[in-house]
Amino acid sequence: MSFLRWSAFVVLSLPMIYMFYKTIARPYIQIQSSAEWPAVTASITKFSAYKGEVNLEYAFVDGADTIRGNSLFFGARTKFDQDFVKELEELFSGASKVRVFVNPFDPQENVVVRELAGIKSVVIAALFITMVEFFMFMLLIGLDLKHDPKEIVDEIVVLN
Amino acid sequence: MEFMTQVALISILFFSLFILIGLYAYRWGSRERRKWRGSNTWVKAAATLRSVSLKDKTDSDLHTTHSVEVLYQYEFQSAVYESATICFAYTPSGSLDFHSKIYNTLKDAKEIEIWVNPSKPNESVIARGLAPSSNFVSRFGMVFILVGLMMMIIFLLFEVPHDSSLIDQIQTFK
Repeated sequence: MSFLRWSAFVVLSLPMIYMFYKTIARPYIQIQSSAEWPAVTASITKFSAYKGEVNLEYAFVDGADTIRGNSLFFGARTKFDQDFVKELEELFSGASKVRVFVNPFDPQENVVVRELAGIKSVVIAALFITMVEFFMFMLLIGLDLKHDPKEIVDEIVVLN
Repeated sequence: MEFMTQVALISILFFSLFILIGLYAYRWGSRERRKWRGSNTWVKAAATLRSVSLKDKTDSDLHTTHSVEVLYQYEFQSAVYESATICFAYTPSGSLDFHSKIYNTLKDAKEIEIWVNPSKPNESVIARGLAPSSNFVSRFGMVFILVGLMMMIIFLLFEVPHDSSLIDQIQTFK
């Protein structure tokens, strides 16, 4: 029974491991490895900012291929505060090209700024993963550790 | 002080609190479990029950917790001791049924059987069971330790750049 519960715990943990890789490990690896990425000049094909949502699209030539990208920063964040968006709008207004860093081994992986724009999503993901793993552990493994309060009451011996 | 150093310092201080609270709770739970495991060497003795009462406590959120408060006296190796321990890791809880059963068993008793730690005779329990709270407290502690460690690592691994430094890294051309 215990083996079954541990197996279920490991199998149900797989999505959390994937989420950990996508939201925490991968951005960290990207930031570290991108220090050596070469820069190219890309043409800006679209820039829009609406209600804090920033959308940048660009294209650059890699050999015979034209690669399209839309990563302003690493991570999934696309919403920013108004002041930051204003600064981005000023920077991109009238600009036709932007410097993009490209992974030489996989040009589809490219980014304008080799950093995370804040770690809010990483923190939320970490809290979510910790809580889900903890409750799964409680439900699947914790059942084996449960003690019956009745045992305590039954053990009390009154002499007179 | 540099911004990053400040962030690292604040995260270390803040999440150390989580880890410390977690360690304290985990240590309490595991200490009670250790005592419980070692209690098979404890010896039986008779004790005089001095007092027993069922207490209810309601907090500001209107949650009521119940507990049994006891006081018993016993003689062991020619010395007299007093104790108030019912079982290992006994704490107040919301389970009225559990505490009522203990109270109903003890309320009319004058003399009871207890278990005494022969190497520390001031340690004794009425029942050698482990209250369910020890598991809860240990796990609660584990979560605090895990969350604290994970958050600390994240804040130390990932730099938290100023928005202005992000802007400075963007290079555009007309």
